[in-house]
Amino acid sequence: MFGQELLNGVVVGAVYALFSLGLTLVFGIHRILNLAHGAVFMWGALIGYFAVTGAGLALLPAFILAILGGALVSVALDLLVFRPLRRRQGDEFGTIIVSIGANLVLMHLAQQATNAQTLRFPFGIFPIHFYHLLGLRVSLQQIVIVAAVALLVIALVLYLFRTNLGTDARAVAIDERTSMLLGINPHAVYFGTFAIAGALAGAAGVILGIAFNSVSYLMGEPIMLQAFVVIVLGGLGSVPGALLAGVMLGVIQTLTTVYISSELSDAVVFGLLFVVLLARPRGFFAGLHTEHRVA
Amino acid sequence: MLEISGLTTRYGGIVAVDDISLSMAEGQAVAIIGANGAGKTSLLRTISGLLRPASGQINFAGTGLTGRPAYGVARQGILMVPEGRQIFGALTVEENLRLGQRAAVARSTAPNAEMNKVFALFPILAERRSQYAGQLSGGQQQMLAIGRALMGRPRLLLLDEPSLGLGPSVVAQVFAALKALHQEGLSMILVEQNARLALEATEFAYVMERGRIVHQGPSVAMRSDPLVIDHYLGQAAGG
Ligand SMILES: Nc1ncnc2c1ncn2[C@@H]1O[C@H](COP(=O)(O)OP(=O)(O)O)[C@@H](O)[C@H]1O
Ligand SMILES: [Mg+2]
Repeated sequence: MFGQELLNGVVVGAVYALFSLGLTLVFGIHRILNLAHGAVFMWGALIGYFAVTGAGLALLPAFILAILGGALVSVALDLLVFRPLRRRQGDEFGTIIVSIGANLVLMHLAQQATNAQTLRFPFGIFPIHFYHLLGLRVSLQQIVIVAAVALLVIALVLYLFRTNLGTDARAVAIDERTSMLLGINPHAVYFGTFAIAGALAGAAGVILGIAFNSVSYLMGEPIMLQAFVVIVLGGLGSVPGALLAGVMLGVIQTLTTVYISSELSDAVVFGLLFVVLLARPRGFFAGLHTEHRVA
Repeated sequence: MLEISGLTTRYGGIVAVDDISLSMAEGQAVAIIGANGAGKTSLLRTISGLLRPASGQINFAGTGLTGRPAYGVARQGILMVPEGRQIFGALTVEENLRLGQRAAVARSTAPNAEMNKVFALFPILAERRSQYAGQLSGGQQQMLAIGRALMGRPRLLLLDEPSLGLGPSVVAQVFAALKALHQEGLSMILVEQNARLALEATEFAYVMERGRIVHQGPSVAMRSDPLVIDHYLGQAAGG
């Protein structure tokens, strides 16, 4: 049923968007393409899993722990990997290479921690409940996922546009040197950006881990591929772009899988990316660092 | 107030600032004039912490600034209005001004009072406060760049070619504002290729050539100095 598939696609796409927002934010503000972002996502899911199974926590505290854990891993990446490179005036290409290395390290650690097994949350961790809305079967889980994503995105927008650190971040996105001349400490901005990107990735990790009931050290890889499509389609550095493109991607993927074939779904997605970029080489929206502001 | 001794700054092998020493008292306005490529911008960038000197000392009001990051220098009260203005075009006029406050946060101030002062000095900024800064004219952008620096309550204002690319009437407006600020006691270092303007707005002047200070003296005397007239008040004076 088309409406039902559309709904499922929107829910998955919301999580893609959540994950991609951090990636596009770090790139838009600091020009760092963090290829270890998928590992942060995966560690968020792992932390959530261990919080539930190891520490016996309920879902909500486990979720919050995963968000904090994602933020921590992401900030650690900046402090231990990107910042030393910045201090030696490394270029954008250098940051890409070291983030590939960091990704491997984080994945290896997770492989050890999980014995390379795919882990499953205990049965019934999420209450199974269905509602009938406008002729669609909507699960409680879907409602909670969309609500959580919406809350986190609102928090992100408030941070960027209503706090001093967020304004500083938008200034640094435009021109880091001039920002420093005004007394803005860029280290504080890097900290804020990486913490938020990591928190969003951690949240996305738990959500997807529960939704697909599967957590493994490999789970960060496919979503990175989706996120590339999302941030390029949306316009690098653009918050509304990542949201729109993330949801679109979820919908298109779901519909192709259902109506055409699951093998073709990636081909359709990348083909679509190609076509859109022919028409709009910079994606749907301009990013934070260009002359037009996003709102 | 500002003491610089033996300052040298390099870009790789290029020596941009070559063993410069200078000092200025509180409340003074000092001009640095010199041809394109003389090293004026590099000197200001070194003072403001954007460039690290290879050697030499910078002391400001009894504090050593050498090697501090630019945001640390700004928080000490040295604020720069950079060459080419460098306003944040994608942010509003008001957001630009509020960002200017960051340097003063440590020296607790009343931000709205600062903003009203800037609006009194440049009323056009008050009219345009919610527009994107990128939509302002060149002159208005220069006013915004100066206003943004004033928001940080400078104890010393560094200005890099504030007249660059502006029409004569706007230049007059900007310089009238600078003179008014100076009369209220603000210390400033004014870098200009337009030597006539710079010498009119300051008490003391240095002439730079190839990274070195080759001449110095009271601005009034410089204006009638044949050497300065020959080299810097001839063709450059129109600019
Ligand atoms: N980023 C840079 N890299 C290399 N050389 C530079 C750089 N900026 C300036 N220079 C060189 O340093 C010298 C001084 O330049 P600058 O300080 O900009 O002079 P001015 O402001 O007086 O025009 C020039 O020879 C210039 O070519
Ligand atoms: Mg210059």
